[in-house]
Amino acid sequence: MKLLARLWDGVVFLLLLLGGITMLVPFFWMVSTSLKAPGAVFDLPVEVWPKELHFENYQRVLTSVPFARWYLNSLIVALGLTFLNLTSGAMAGYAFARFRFRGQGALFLLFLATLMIPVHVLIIPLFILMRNLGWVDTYYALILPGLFDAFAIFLMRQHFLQLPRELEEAAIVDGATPWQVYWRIALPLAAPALATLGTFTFLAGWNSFLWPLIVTNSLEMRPLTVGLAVFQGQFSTEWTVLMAGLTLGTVPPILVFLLAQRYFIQGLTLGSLKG
Amino acid sequence: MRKVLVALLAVLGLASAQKLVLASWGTQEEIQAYQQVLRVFQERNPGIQVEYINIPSSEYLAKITAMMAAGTPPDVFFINNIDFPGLASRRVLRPLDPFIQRDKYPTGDIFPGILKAFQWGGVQYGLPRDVSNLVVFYNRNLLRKAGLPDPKPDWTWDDFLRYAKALTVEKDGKRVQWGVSFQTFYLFWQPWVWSAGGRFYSPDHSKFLLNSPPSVEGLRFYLDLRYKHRVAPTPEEAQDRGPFTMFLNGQTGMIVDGRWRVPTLKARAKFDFDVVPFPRGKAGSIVDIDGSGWVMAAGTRNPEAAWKLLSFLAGPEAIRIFTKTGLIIPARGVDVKNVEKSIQNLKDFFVPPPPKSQHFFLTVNKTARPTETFERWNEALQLINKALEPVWQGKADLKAALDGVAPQVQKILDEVQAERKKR
Amino acid sequence: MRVYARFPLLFLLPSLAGFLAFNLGPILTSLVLSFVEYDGLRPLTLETIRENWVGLANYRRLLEDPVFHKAFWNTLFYVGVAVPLEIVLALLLALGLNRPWRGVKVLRTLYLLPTVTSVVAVGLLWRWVLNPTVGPVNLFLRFIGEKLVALWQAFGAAPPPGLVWLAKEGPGWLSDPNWAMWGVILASVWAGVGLRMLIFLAGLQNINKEYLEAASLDGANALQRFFYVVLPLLSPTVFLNTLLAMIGSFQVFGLIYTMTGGGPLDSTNVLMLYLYRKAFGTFPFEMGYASAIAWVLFLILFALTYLQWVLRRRWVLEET
Repeated sequence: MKLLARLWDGVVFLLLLLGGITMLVPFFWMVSTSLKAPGAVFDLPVEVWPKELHFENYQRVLTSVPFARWYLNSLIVALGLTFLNLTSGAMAGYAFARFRFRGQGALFLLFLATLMIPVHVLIIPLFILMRNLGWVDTYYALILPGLFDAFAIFLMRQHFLQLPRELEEAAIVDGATPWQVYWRIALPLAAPALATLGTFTFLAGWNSFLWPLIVTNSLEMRPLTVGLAVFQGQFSTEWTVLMAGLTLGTVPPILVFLLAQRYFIQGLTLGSLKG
Repeated sequence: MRKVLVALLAVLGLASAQKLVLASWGTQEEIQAYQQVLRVFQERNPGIQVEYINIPSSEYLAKITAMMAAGTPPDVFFINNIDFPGLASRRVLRPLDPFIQRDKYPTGDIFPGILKAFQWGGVQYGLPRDVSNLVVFYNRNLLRKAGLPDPKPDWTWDDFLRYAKALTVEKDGKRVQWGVSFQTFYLFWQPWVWSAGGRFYSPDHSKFLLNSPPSVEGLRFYLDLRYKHRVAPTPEEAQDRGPFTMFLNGQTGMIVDGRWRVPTLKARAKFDFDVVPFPRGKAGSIVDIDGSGWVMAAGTRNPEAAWKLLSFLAGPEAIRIFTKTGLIIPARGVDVKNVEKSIQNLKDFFVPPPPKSQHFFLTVNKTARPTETFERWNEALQLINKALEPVWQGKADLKAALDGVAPQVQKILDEVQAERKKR
Repeated sequence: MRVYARFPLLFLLPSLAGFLAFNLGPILTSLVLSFVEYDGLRPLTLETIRENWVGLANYRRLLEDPVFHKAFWNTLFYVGVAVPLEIVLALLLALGLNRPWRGVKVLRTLYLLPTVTSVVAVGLLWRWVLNPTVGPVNLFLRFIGEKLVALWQAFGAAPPPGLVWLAKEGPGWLSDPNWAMWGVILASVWAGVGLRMLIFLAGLQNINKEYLEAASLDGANALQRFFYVVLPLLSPTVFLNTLLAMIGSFQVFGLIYTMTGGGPLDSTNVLMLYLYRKAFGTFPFEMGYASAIAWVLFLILFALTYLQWVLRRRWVLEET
């Protein structure tokens, strides 16, 4: 019986590995394109790996444009948004999960409803607001509108609802304030959810394009996604250089993914409570 | 005390400096050209501060619109002639005629086609920087292999077909080389329509004319290249290889394209290439002369300073700087009043051969005309393209498709006419 | 817990402040704009709104717009197929990767790679993968088709025309209006499954091992444990993930934009794409019309969400 289980495990592993390899292909193609001769047109059939490695694409993207600044901007924006979500979103999620107050259902539904409005029609009104606040071309405009995020609230509420209340109630009996209960007990227990939320938010912030484009003017304030667009012209795109920049841009999200996974394991040990 | 006074004056000077916002698209090389141009401008105009905003071309209009919606449009910005009517018709641009007439601004050496492209209702709203047009690129190596001399600049459609047939090569019953690449973007079949005597619309944009006999004749000749004479690859034969890629790899002998291809060809083509004007149809050899230029926002707060900037950007000195990048064909050609000087300016345009016959990029401008754009050109074009999609794939009849889309496009034209009367 | 009535406000304050400051205004503005004909070229002031007020004209236009109808049904089809596929696949993946193997973290990260890879790269690559003549998918399908045809012929029977077609051509994918949507669904499920899996992983981690132990002590096998213990305990996460997938799929657009641009012949035009085209695509823009589309999209989503919410009471287990 054990042999069958081990065999089954092996099959599963193989399937997952195969699937994982297919996930690798576009990433691989992105990297291989970044090493091809500059000006290489995107032809078919696809050349799997360039015969000569052209590192000058990387040189160009790192030196001919304010790449480091763009990278930093992306980091600041993504981290800023993540911080906002992990704090304000988690707090609000906790409020919906653990407290009872009037209009709770309606307010939650309202918040949820905001997720369903396509963002494109909100961009120009929001830009006008930024203009009136004098925040155009600043980090404020890139980060602060993320203060409210229904997705974060929804996710955190879901997780707090599933947490057994015993520990929290015990703390209250011991005289802890709600804030202490939240900070010391509920939040640490929600580590997997926080890791998930943080990953999502970081990724969304790192990849965002249209809003930063609209709200930044100077090259120096641009995040990576918008900055790299200078390699996309009207008639032709410098694919190889663009891919070099994009490849460099995958490093932080991948690090975030690897980091977030630790919290899943942690959550496993913290999640099993004995009475 | 004096130091304080000097400092105060400096601060006041800066404070009273007029601030302008300039916006355009452009790749990283163009940005450097802009910085150079603006440096010269600032030296000559110390009282004017220019903030340059470079906007990625993929979302250029989105950002310009956002700035306009917020009530803070750029004072001077770049626009191409296709999108120009959309702006001009909505009265968000400032007329330039008063400035041009007052300063006696020289426009004599600007190609008339592109100058007109930036007029609306007879008034000049923009000044062009560059033009783009179409020529026929050919692979001289393949031509020689087929025993053909260089095409003559006044060659006809029959000559073109002859060349294309000679350049189509079969091996083991399958075609491995075609005479000409086939492109479905409207820009590339437009010359076939015009040179046959056809048009998209009547000049006042009141009537749809793409399904008129001369237009259909021109398009049919083009379509026949693919399905009747088989000198252009069908979609199956092309197998998703781009038309330019096929030319670059020596799989097609000719392609109708623009000067922006020259840098890539010079870097990567393994053959000698050259250009020749578009072949003559019944109505001559008419390609497009489209381009981009500078306009001034109607809501600008510093019209005088903005004019100083705009006139400088469109002037021969700035255009020289842009031409030196090798990315554009300048909109200023030969000034009949000052031939010597203008030829000097144009010298920057020429790159070392190949191609040998670069002068054609300039000469075809004489008979070229701008794309027949109007306020809702993009919308109408979408409908037309959708109708023609199956035609290019050989699955629908040309005349039927055009007749089918005619009522919808005509509706747009009628609505535009009504709108114009209201304004 | 009922004692601290003030505290909810404290916890809600940052989000509420953000909502009132940055979200409420633009949302109401877009609602107002859906009743206006606005191209964005004039400053957005009360005057402009008053001058260009058209009432329900934008909504009426939607009713008659054939492209809107196509986009509408395309969107429903896309959501109806892509979401279940993504959820089921993600669940399987999460179950498979929820083990303490060595290197399972790396394997998990592999599945998240598509979300890091630029959507342009992903879209372009899928275009090649689905290429009807040289793409690997059709090469594989044709191979299978040939083998099956040979099998049929070996028995002396005429193979059905469907198989013959498969062996010779295969689907036209992105150049065929009948197949393009399937191609897009394939690509987007593949690209989105990683993030769905992440949420399921988080949910699985939350399941108390004691329940599972108790169940196996009671004699339940793996399958029974899954259906009677894991799934019910996971149901809040399933609900969450389905809801988010639905909302996300209504809004997915970058991939379709790169792969087909909505074609061929509008077969992959979904509402988000159409909305974008009206808001920022074809110049001059039609922001009022785009806002109307947005609010219709909102109503649909809201209705579907409400439906899910109601069903949730029946199917989702919640901590009591």
